[in-house]
Amino acid sequence: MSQTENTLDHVEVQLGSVAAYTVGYVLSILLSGLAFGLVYTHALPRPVMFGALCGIAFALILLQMFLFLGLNLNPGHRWKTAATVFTLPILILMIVLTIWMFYTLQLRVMPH
Amino acid sequence: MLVPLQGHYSFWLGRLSMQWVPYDNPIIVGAFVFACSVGLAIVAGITRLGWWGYLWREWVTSLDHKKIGLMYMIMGAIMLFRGFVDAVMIRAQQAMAAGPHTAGFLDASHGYLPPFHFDQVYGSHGTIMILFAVTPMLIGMMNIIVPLQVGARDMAYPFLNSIGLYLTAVGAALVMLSLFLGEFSHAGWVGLTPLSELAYSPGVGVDYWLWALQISGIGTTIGSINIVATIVKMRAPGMTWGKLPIFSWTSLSMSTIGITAFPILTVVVSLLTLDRYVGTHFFTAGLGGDLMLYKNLFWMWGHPEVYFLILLPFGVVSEVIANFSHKQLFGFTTMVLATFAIAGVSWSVWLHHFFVMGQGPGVNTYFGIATMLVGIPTGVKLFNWIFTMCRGRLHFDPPMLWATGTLFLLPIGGLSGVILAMVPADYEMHNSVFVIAHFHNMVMVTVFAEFAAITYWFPKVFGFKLDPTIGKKVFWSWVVAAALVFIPMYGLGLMGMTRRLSYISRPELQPFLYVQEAGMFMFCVAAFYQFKQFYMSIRDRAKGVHLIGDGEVWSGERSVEWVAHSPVPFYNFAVTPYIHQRDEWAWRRAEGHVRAKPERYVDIEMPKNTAIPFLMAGATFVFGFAMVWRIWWLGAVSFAGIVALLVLRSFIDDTEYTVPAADVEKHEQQFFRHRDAHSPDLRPIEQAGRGVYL
Amino acid sequence: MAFDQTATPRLFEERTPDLIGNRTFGFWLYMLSDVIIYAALFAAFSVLHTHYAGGPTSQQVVEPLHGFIDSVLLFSSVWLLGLGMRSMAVGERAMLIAFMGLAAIVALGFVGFESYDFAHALGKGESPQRSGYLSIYFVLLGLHALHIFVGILWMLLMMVQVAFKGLTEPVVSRLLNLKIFWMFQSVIWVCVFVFVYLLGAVG
Repeated sequence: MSQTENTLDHVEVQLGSVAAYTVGYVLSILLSGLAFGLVYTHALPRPVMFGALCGIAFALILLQMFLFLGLNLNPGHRWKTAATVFTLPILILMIVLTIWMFYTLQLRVMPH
Repeated sequence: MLVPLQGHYSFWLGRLSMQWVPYDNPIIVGAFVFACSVGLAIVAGITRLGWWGYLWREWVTSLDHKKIGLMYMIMGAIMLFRGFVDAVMIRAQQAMAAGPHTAGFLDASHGYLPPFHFDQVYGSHGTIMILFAVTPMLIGMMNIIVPLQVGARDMAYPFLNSIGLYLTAVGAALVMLSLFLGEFSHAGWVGLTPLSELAYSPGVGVDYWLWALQISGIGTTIGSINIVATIVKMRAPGMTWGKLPIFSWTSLSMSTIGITAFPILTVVVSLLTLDRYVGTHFFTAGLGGDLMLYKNLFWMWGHPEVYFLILLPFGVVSEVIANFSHKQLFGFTTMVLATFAIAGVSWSVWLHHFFVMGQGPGVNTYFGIATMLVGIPTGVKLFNWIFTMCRGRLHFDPPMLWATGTLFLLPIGGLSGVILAMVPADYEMHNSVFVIAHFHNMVMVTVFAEFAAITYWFPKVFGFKLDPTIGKKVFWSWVVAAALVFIPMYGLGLMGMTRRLSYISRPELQPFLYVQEAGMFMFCVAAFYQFKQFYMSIRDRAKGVHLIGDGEVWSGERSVEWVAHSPVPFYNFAVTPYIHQRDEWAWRRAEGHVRAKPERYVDIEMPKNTAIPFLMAGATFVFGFAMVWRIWWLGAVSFAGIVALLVLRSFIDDTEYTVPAADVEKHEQQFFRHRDAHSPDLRPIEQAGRGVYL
Repeated sequence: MAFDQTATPRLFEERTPDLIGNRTFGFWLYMLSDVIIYAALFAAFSVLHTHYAGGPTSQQVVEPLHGFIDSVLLFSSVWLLGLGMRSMAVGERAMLIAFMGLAAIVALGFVGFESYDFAHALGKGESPQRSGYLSIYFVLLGLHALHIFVGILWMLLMMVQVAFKGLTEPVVSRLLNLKIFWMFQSVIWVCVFVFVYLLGAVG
C-alpha cells in the first residue's frame, strides 16, 4: 500500500530511536534506584534528603521528556514543545502558591 | 465503600421516588406547565412542518462548525433566558423581603420564596449564567468565526467539536431537569464547603450541580483543545502568526486558559463527588478534611475561568471598533501582548476571592499586587480602542453601540475590581453586594460584546442583517437596565448589605431594591425588543431590505472571514485563500481583488455526518441522571454505552466525503448569480480605495 | 503600510492537511490538561499529606520498595512500547503487535502489584475514608493506576486494529497518541514515586 509508506515517512512516525529509548530506560532505572537507595538506607539528613530527592525527580522528568517524549524544536514537534514550556510555569504556580498559602494559613489559624 | 444514605432507596430506582417531585410548589408547577407547553408547541410545529428528518440530517448529526456554533449559541440563549428568570425571581424576593414588617406569601415568612428555595434559585442563576449561558455563547462564537478567520474549512477535530457541544448540552439539561425532579444545589454556584458536603446537603441538589459541572466542564476542555489546534495547525497558507486576526488571538488565549484551568474544575468536582459518594475526607469538617482546600482549588479554576469569559469579548470589541472606525486596529502587537499578559496573570490572582481566609499578609500582598497588575494590560487595551476610534470615520450601527458600551462598563467594573484587590479594603467588602455589582459589571462587558458579535456576524452567517432600528432600542434598554440594577448595588454593598440574602433586615435599604426592580423591568423590555428584532428581521429577510452580497455588509470589514461569501457556504472557501495581510479583506478591497475568482476549482474533503456524538450525549445524560440518583446499574450500563460508542467510532475510517470540483463550481456560480440579482446597487469596491485600508 | 502593488499576488492556494500532525498535537494538548489534573491533585496532596486525623502516618502506609518495583515495571513497559514504535516506523506489524503485547503484560503486572498493595492496605483498615491523607493517597495512586489500566485496554484495541486494518493513517496516528499517553504516564509516575512513596517514607 503506497498510502502506508507515505504514512510511515511522516516526521512524527520517525521520531525517536532504539538508542534513545534504551538509554532513557537504563538511566531512569538507575536514577530511581539511586533515589530509592538514599531513602532505604537513610543516607542523608532530612533537609538534604528532600533537596536530593527533588533534584533526582527533576532530572528524571527532564530525561524522560527528552529521551521518551522526544521534546525538541524540529518542525514536527515545535508546537508540542512550546505548549509544554508554557504549561510548566502554571504547574509551578499552582503547587508552590498552594504550599505557601497553606503554610502561612496553618501558622496563623491552627497553632499547635 | 459507598456512604450510607438517609431516606428511601431502592435498587432499580436508586433514591428516586415521588417525594422528589415538587408538585406542591405553585411556582415550579407553573414553570413546568410553561416548559411543557413550549416544548409541546415546538414538537407539534416541527411535526406539522415535517422537519424531523431535516433537523436530524442537517443539524443534529452535522459536523459543520458553523451549525455546531449556532447550536451552541441557541443553547446559550435558552439558558440565558432561564438564568434571567432566576434573576427576576431573586430581585423580586429581595425587593419584597426588606424589613421585619414585609408580608410573606407561599410558605415564606417574608417575600414569596422560603430560604431553601431562594438559595437554589441564586445557585442556579450563577451556575447557569456562567457555565451554560455565557460560556456556550462564547464557544459558539469561536466555533463559527475562528475557522473562517484562519481560512480553514472546519475545525481541526469536527467530531470532537460535536461531542463538546453535546456534553455542554447534557450539563444544561441536567440543570433544567433538577427544576422538576428533585432540587438544585443550595450552596451557591461556588458550592461552598462544608455546606455542600453530604452531612449538610443530604438531598440530590448538590449532586445535580456536581454532575452538570463535571460533564459540561469536560465538554469545554475538549472545545478549547479544538480551538487551539485549529489556530495552530489549520491556518491558511501565508498566514504567519503576525497575520492572525485579533479575534483569533483572543480565542487562542481564551482556549489556552480553557485547557489549563478546566481540568482543575474536573479535579475539584471529582473530589467533592468522592466525598459525597464514597465518604473520603477532602473537604469535610473533621477527619483530616480541609475545607479551605476546596476554596483554593475551586478558585484556581474559577479565576482563570473569569478571564476565560472576558478575553474573547476583548477580541470582539477590537474587531468591531476597527470595522466601524474604518481604521486599522491601533497597537495590534500591544493588544496581543496585553491579551496574553492577562491570561498569564490569571494564574496568580485566584486567592483574591478569599483574602479573608486567614493566610499570612505576604501571600495576600502577592495576590493583591498581581490582581492590580491586571489593570495595566486592560488599560492598554482600553487606550488602544480609543486611539483606534480617534480620527476614524465612526459609524454607530448596533454592533458599534454595543462595543462602545463596553468601553464605559470596563473602567467602572475594572476599577471597582482594583478597589477589591486592596486587601484591607477587601476585608471590609468581602461577601458584600459590592462584589456582586463588580463582577456583574464585568460580565456585562462580556454580554455587551456578545451582542456586538451577534449583530456584527449575523449577516456573515445568514446573509441578512438584524433590524438596526430595533437593535438600537435593545441596546439603550440594556444600558438603562444595567445602570438601574447595578449602580444601586454598589451603594448597597458599601452600606453593608451582604450577598445571598433571602431576607434583608434593614427596611431603609428597600428604596434601592425598588430601583433595582425597575431595572429588572427594563431588562424585560430589552428582552421584548430582542425577540421583536429577531422576529422582524427573519420575517422581512426576503424583502431584500437587509439582503447583502459579497463582503459589503458593514462597509468596513477587514479580517479574513469576510473573504468567504455571506452567507457562508458549507465548505467555507471554494479554494483556500492565500493570506497577504493581517487585514486580508481590507487589503483585497484596496487592491481590487474583491471579485477575484480562483482559476479552477478543486475537490473538497468534508467531514461526514455522524450520529455517534448525539448517541453519546444521550448515554451521558442517562449516566449523569443515574449518578445523581445513585442508580448504579443504570450508571454502569450507560457508561458501557459511552465506551462502546467510542470504540465503534475508532473502527470507522470512512469519516470524510468528497465534494467534486464541478459541484463546488456549480454552487459558486449559483451564489454569484444570486448576489448579482440581489445587490445591483453594490458600490464598486474598487472606489473605496486605499483610504479604507489605512 | 507599504505593499508591493506591481507583483500579481497569489489569491488562492490549496494545501493538504497533515492528519497525523493535527491529531498528535491535539492529543498532546489533552495530555497537558491531564498533567494539570495531576498538578491539582499534587497541590491537594501538599495540603493533606500530614492530615492523618489520628490514623496511620505516611511512614506506616507507603512501602518505598514496592514503589521502586512499580517504577521498574512501568519504565520497562514504556521501553517496550518505544521499541514497538520503532517497529512500526519500519513497517513491521508483527513485531509491533508483539512489543505492544509485552508492554501490556508488564503494565498489567504494574496494575496487579498496585492492586495488591491497595487490597493489603484496605485489609489493615487503611481505607480512603480513614483520613484526609489516605483519601488523597488512594485517589492520586488510583487515578494513575486507572490511566495505566485504560492504556492496557487501548493497547489491546490497537493490537486488533493493527492486525486487521494495517498501518493506515488513522491507525498510525492513534498509535502515536498511545505512545504519547504512555510516556506521559511514566513522567507522572516519577512524581508519584518520589513525592508520595519516597518523601512519604522519609516523613
